[in-house]
Amino acid sequence: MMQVRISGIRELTPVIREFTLTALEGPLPGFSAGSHVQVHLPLGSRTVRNAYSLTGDPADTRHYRIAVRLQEASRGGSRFLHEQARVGDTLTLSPPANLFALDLTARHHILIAGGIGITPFMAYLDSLERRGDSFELHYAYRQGLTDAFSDELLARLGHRLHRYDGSAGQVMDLKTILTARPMGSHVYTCGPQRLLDGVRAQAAALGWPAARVHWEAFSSARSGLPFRLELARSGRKIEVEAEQSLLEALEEAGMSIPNLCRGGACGQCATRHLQGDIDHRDHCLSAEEQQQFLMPCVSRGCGTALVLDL
Amino acid sequence: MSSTHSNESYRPFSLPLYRQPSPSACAQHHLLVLQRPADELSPSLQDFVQALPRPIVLSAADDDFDKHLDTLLYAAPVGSHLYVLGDEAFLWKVHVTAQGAGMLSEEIDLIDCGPARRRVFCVHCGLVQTGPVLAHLNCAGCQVQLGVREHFSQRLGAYLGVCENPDQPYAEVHP
Repeated sequence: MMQVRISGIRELTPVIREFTLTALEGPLPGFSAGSHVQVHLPLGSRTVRNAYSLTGDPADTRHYRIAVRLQEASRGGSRFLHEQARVGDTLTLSPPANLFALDLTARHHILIAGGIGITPFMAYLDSLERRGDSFELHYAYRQGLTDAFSDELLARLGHRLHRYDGSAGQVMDLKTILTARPMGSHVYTCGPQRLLDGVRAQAAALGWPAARVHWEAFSSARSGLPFRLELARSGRKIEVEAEQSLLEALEEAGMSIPNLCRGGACGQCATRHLQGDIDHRDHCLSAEEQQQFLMPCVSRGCGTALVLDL
Repeated sequence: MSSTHSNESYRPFSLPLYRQPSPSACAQHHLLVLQRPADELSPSLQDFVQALPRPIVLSAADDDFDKHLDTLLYAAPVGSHLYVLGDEAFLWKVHVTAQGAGMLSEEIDLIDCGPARRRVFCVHCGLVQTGPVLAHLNCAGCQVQLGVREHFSQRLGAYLGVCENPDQPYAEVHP
């Protein structure tokens, strides 16, 4: 855990705010492009941890930068950062981890961002430009709403930037983007699930091997109905509130579960379940694996009481 | 050696394994590189070659083979799959070129169908030599007598050759 101070806030769009975070003392831990941090957000009596990609230059260890989209349906983490966080406030972070690293053997990098999914690519661009690598960025957004870095990127990247304004009906043609690309190309995508699914399906249809296709799901826990939980080994019973994730409830009960993304993607927090109905909301377990495991960061009990092998 | 491994079952992890040839189901373009003319292949390999949909074929017997190989691999789009047929030394020479062009191992099928010839990398001077399968050889670059280890580098496409006897590195009296 580390303490940082909010040293700057920029309103990039009506729904996206950028925060500059500075260490209270000394330099911050270094990170590689594509890394994220977990921000610990005090919401009433509870602490919610949300993962945000680091958008600053990885070579700069004086500051971290994150860009936060206000999530209307969220449980309050992004709302806290939009409505209550002020310059000078102190925040607690978990150190950076990277689940979306660049492939440094690539001869060409194709970056495809949807909306707030632009954030990990902001750090990519610093690394790619420093390395002198060949790349292009495709950026879909809604003008005046999610076009956080659009003008800044146009000035910086010129013809390497391809913009698609959804509010003007401009559509990204994934087939054109992925057809007849030079050997050694890798594609990276971050954004809404339907964009990720689209890129992966189109790449597979054109014969791209999975090792050339990289993605990061951009989601965090959504709320649901409250449910009851039992831990088989200790016999403890825990109530999970509507606005709380199962992982947060376990942490509140003093359990320490390994986790990195808190969004159902990294697979770290997989926990064996023994009984009960489950609403699986993750992106990483296969249907067979879900028979035995669940991802407590996003998935929830529903119906009969959930029993975990903890 | 661990007592749980008999000598026969012990197989160093790095030694290459060669699959049975089969056309890639997902690839859009099929690149076929042959060391020997296709009509000299075994009947089963001739069947395999004929089953490839619209392959682009390159033969090592052609003039300017190395130049054409570079052109083919660097111009190939993602979605291409490479099949190489020949002896082990030839397979890995092409594999090294293909990796340099940005191909991944999963985009390359190596089909070992020649006499036993392999590449050996001298760890002392860095020279790669091609020759028959021998336990020892003299490095043509630095004259050190090499023992060829059962340790294979996929990046170099070669077995590692290491000085056999440090007390007498040269097989013959060295000037």
